[in-house]
Amino acid sequence: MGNPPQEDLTGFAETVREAYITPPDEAVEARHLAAMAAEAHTVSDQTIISVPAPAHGLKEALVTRFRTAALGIKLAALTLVAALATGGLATAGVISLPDSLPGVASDRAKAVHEAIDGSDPSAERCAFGHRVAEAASDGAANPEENGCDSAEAAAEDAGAEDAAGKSVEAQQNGATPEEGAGQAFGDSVSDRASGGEPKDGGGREFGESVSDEAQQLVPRPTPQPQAGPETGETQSQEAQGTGETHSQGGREIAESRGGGPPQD
Amino acid sequence: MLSAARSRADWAWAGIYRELAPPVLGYLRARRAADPEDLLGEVFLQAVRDLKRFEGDEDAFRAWVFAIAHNRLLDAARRQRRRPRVEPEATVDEHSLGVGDSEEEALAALAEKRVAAMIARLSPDQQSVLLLRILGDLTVEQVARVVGKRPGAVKALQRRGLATLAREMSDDA
Repeated sequence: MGNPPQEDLTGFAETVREAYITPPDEAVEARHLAAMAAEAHTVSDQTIISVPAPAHGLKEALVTRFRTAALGIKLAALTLVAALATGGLATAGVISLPDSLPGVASDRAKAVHEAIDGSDPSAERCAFGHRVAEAASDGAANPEENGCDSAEAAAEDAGAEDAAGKSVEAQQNGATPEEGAGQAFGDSVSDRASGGEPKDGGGREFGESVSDEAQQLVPRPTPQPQAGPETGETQSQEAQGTGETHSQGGREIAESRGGGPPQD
Repeated sequence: MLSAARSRADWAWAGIYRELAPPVLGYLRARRAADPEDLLGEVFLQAVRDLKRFEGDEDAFRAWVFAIAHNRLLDAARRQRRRPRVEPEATVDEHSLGVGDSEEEALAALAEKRVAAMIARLSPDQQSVLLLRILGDLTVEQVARVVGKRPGAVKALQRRGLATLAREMSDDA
């Protein structure tokens, strides 16, 4: 193939330029320039006058604005009708409107404030609350009916009844000054029984001694088992039972060693 | 001149038109556009409309106008393919033949006819690259931007086109 001759290619380029680069006709040029000038002015006008929104958006905006205005007009008319009706009824005497409700509320608040400032809440709690309530109700609370006195009297009555009730209950339970001694006795018997004191043949003696001590602990021969303190009695009974058990055990041991039952 | 054209100066647009219309029209004619004058008018109207989006100096503006012409040419070719019509017989229009009948003009007409025949043997891409290089006086990079190809591809098209032309010349010789 080889490289094309440079002179031929240069001549080709010159021939192409001479053949094709020619200005348009004057009529064509004039027509084009006029169209370009008109287009340039149109473009500049469009640049200056910018349309904010398309026609569809404008229509929607107008509809929305109209609906908002209609709703506002309806609300205003409704409010006006309600105000006129209320005023008419008040004029006719059917209803009574408050003269100066804000003023009344202000006076009431002022009285409450004075009641609060003029009292010591920590010193007289019930009376303080009563005074504040009286001020808030504008004297509607009856000062003759002092709730604080009634409450205190009721509290005192309740305290007395409570003390009396407790005393009766203690008497019914049979509480005596020897209540502590009984408990000590129960504890000592329990310790002795669990400490293994009557192990070798002394079970009977242990049971009998415990029984004697228990009888000595109760000086009054009261047959009622519930007369003693509940804890001491229970422990006494448990100790007695333990003593008998040990006594039985000691007897069995003595029989096994001596060949016969011990003599009582 | 560009800044004056941006400020709606008619004289600026007239100057731009007189400078760029001949090579643009030559490009459209060499590419055998159906109606090169109408297409030339559309090219400059679009340039007026889109000037606010253009940024660059006058060399870039020249390449930009040729890009508009190239795209308009492709659009017209697509429209023409959808509505096929009878192609004109002549490959060199009457405008380039002149009106005289002297020997010089006859030789020029023959030379132009020969050039048109050689161009017709190039592929469309080779025609675009070589004609934009010769008539538009654009650089390889500018041509690449106009035709939407990489500069390497443009160089290859140019090289193959010139080889085809040299072969045609040697055959004619």
